[in-house]
Amino acid sequence: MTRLDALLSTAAKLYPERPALAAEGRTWTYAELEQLVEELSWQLSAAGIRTGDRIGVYAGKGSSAVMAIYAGLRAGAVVAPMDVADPPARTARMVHNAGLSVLLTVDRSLGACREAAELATEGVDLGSGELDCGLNWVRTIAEADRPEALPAPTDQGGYILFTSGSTGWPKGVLLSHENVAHYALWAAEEFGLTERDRIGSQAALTFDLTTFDLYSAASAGACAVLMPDVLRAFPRDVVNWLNDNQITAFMAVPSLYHNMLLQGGFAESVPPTLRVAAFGGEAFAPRHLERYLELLGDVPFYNLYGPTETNACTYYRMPADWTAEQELTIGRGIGGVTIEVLDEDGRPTDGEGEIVVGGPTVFQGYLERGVLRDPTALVAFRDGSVQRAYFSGDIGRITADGLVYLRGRRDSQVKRRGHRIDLLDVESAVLELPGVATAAVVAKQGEHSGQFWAYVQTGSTEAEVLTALGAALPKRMLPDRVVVLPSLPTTTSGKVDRRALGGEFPAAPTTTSTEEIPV
Amino acid sequence: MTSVEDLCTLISGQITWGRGQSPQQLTPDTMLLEMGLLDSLAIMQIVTALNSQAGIVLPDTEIVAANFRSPAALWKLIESLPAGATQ
Repeated sequence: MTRLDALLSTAAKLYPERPALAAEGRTWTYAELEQLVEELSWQLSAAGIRTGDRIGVYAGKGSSAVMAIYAGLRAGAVVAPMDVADPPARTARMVHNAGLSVLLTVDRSLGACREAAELATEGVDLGSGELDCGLNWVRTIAEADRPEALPAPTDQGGYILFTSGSTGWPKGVLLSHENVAHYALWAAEEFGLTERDRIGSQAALTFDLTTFDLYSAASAGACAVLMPDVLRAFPRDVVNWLNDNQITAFMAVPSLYHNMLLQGGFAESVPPTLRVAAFGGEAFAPRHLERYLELLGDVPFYNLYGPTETNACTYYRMPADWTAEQELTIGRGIGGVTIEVLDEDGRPTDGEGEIVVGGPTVFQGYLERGVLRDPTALVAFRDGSVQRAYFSGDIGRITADGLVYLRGRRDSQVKRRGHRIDLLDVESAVLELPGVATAAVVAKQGEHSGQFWAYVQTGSTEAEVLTALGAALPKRMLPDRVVVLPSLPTTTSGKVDRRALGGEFPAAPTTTSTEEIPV
Repeated sequence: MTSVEDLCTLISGQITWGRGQSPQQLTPDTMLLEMGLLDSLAIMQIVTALNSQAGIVLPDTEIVAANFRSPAALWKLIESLPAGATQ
């Protein structure tokens, strides 16, 4: 079993003088980072953190957060990166759900961290203290009330990434060292990473994309270059940042790629140092994807797919001559991972069905109210193996040679007047309209429950979009409403925020663009 | 749009205030990005509102973090735009 913190100590032996981390205008070598992490892990032990404890790292993206994560892993803890932009009540809920004993935080977030801790402990001060590297610890569960140890292998530490549950409350996705390391090592090898690479890390540390940035980098002795959080909303800054920092490897969500193309001037300043790039997490608008393939030329561009529960579990290297008219596959399972598609009776099918994932990247379970719940089940795969597998909730099909085609979410299908409509089909039709930059078609909740609306980033009006759609789709598939927005809202991981769009969004109509269009 | 105070009002109207977060009075020196007040949607809504409410067109090349760090920074940019940029 590979430990994530061992990737760092091994790199410190093999590449002591190579840059490991670049952030805030300075660089740390692997030898320096290893020494800081080792010292910090001793301080965590002195602060009462034991092997198997769960701890949160409550800090914005930066060198201190990375050091805190590594030190927590080194101390044997299960480490949960957290989002400082979350309201304190939500952070407190995460503390409860995941059973976090201690939060590590940076000086500038200490106030908000204490506020969240107070909510979690109902006002009781359970102690706090200072650490190296501008860090502090704040205890959130008394040592005597420490939750029961998690089952092996996470009794020896691991990783927690929070996802929004169906209720909107965060669920902790519990991953073992091996779950994360298997993917990180695979990606480093597939992308041919070496100690000369500079990996551009743009996503928040709470997002599973960044396990590549940190641990694939460490496994190859490459440098993780951290982009400041404030640049993420400015595509032009991101493009400049990639160029200024001589980034060679880059992974991001399609929303960011779209915006870099549309607003960021990517076409005029493709980073000359870039030698491998990847995307994942949501669908890439086909026309933009085709344009990227033209712009990137010989630079490999990968499509990665995988819910947080399984890390990235399929991959596809885009052919340079792929065009927007072609169907896009999410590829085949990464090394050691098996993908299966099951019909409604749970049997492997060549037709459409639910995508299930088996293998070393499949998570341990969800942490809810401090308790581990494992939703995986044993599945008989068509190769004859029986494996513990995760049901993704995604619908797709698999070809005889193992290529997987994603069809949509199980919950992206709605029924209207007896017809089953896949919202992604409607979305594809919207995306194909001239002048549409990006779009999302979502089922509405609450007041407009039963309807589905199209949110569109375009220069056209709602009426024009609807007329054009009417020429492309049967009437039953037309959205109940079209809303034109200057930009689609995104989640902290940078993906289009479909939950927000499906809710009461937009909360208060600010322009005439939300007027109802009769269908 | 004649003053930085007008701009503060316009920006404030585009911020999605979180639940349990009371709309704050923006001042010219409010650190909009550091405080996490602006997401990518809010930024594009500000750009759109400047155009529709004040006829100010920000070039794509100026939609960068340095110009949105505070209302004062954005106001400085607006004042520096050539006269032809406003309609």
